[in-house]
Amino acid sequence: MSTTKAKFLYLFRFPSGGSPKRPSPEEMQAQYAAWAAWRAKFEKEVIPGEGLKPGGAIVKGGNVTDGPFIEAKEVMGSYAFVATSTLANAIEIAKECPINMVPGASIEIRELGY
Amino acid sequence: MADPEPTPPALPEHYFRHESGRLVSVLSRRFGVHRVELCEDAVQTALLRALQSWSQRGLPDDKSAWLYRVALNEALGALRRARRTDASGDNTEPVAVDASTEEAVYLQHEVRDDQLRMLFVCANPGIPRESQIVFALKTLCGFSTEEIALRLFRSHDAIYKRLQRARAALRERVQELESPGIEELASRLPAVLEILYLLFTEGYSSGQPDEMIRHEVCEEAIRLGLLLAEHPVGGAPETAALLALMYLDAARFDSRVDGAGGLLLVEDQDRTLWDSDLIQTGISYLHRSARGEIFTRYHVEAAIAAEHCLAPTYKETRWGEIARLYQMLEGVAPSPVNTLNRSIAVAEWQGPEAGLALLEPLNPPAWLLGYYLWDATLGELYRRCGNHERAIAHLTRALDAAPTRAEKALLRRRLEACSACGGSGPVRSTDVLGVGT
Repeated sequence: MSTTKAKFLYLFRFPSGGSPKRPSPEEMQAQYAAWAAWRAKFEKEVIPGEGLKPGGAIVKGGNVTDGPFIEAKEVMGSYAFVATSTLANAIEIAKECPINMVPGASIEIRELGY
Repeated sequence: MADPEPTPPALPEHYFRHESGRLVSVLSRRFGVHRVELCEDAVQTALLRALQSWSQRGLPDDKSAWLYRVALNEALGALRRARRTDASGDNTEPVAVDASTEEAVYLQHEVRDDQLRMLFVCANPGIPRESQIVFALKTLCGFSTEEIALRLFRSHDAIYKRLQRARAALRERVQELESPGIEELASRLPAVLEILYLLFTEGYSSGQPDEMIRHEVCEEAIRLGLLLAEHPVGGAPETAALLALMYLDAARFDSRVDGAGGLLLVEDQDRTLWDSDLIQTGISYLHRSARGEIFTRYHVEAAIAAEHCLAPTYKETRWGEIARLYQMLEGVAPSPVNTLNRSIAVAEWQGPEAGLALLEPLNPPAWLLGYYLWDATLGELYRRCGNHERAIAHLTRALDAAPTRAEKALLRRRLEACSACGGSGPVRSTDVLGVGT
């Protein structure tokens, strides 16, 4: 039996300026453990992308605006792909993602294709 | 065959925290202890970067080298920025590095030496004692100030101030810190052992509900003690004696608290809960400590702990031997607290009158009179001599002064037993008395 899987893009956004309180090494390790567990649980679905460095540039009408885009309230920190059958499934997987523990952080989900 | 449940690649326990201690030590050796805050920030950034990358992509094969590379670059960048903008006079040129050869230096024994060096830095006589402990917990053990505050029962502000005091003292002593080699630092061994001893006691002497996290402080003291013992500079008999003491006390952690979180005396503890592996390790360190001419309080205290650990029952404890050891302890570390402890052993050995006879001629200093164990012990000994009036007076005072809920509960039980003129069992515990003062 095979189900056609759609591919979704997860855009991980974080509040700009970082979190107000710096996590301790022990807290960071707990966060890592949560992410590792999430990735293991959805090993078949989640295809990791890359991190996104701060800064960059916008080219608009031939004019270049350099980053960092201080006025932005959130910054895109990384992305990933998720292979699953429906948007509803992609939402369920995102709901379990540890990013939800970060205040102000979010996942934007977009299906790939035209 | 069914797919095995996917297990995420796990990090060793406390990996981030311990790696933080290693990295701060290595960077501080490289850039100077007076720049320890810059090093701590660089390490923090590297760990955050690792968290982001590893969370998404999984663990790299060379985790530690990965962290070191990022932290080193981060520190170098911060130094360059500081040099451009800073007019504070910190103009020492950061030496240009080739990160790939630097990485090769991040080897086990180098790292161990650097951590050891940092431990000796913590023992700098210019840093107040309580700041030394906080500084060690921060830089070598990777605890945040909040985590330290929680473990030492102090406010976050108090911990922060102690940390700042340590950093200020270190900034003033740049020259002194950078010049000596690790062998010269060996003269500071007694101060280093004292720090580890205090760290351990901080974590040990409590019956608070959050006992478990305080045991982490004890684990850190043992971890640093092992680091010290492995090195030619630190591998002295007194280091082995301190390790013996810490292992023998740690062996009894789990039996010290009853189901309701109350503190139990040695006589009430379930001896089957004592960790025989830890006792074995402790005894083997005790054997190793018995060489050379050096005889320290750690030797005696470890021997006392061993007597308790090896006694098959409370009744069969060799109280005469323990009384003799406390007398020796009074010799190497004169303190009325040791006399107090001896009186308890003597009371078990030769009866409560003999115990009281040691205390009654004492003219205790004011701080000891305010110490709840002074009253707790006198109260119990008077109770057993049948002097209930005096017993109740002392136990009531002890109850008022007892620092923790568990200790108060224990004393209340004793007081009730006394008021009812019934009850049994002497107050006796190296646990309640702590491992010394």
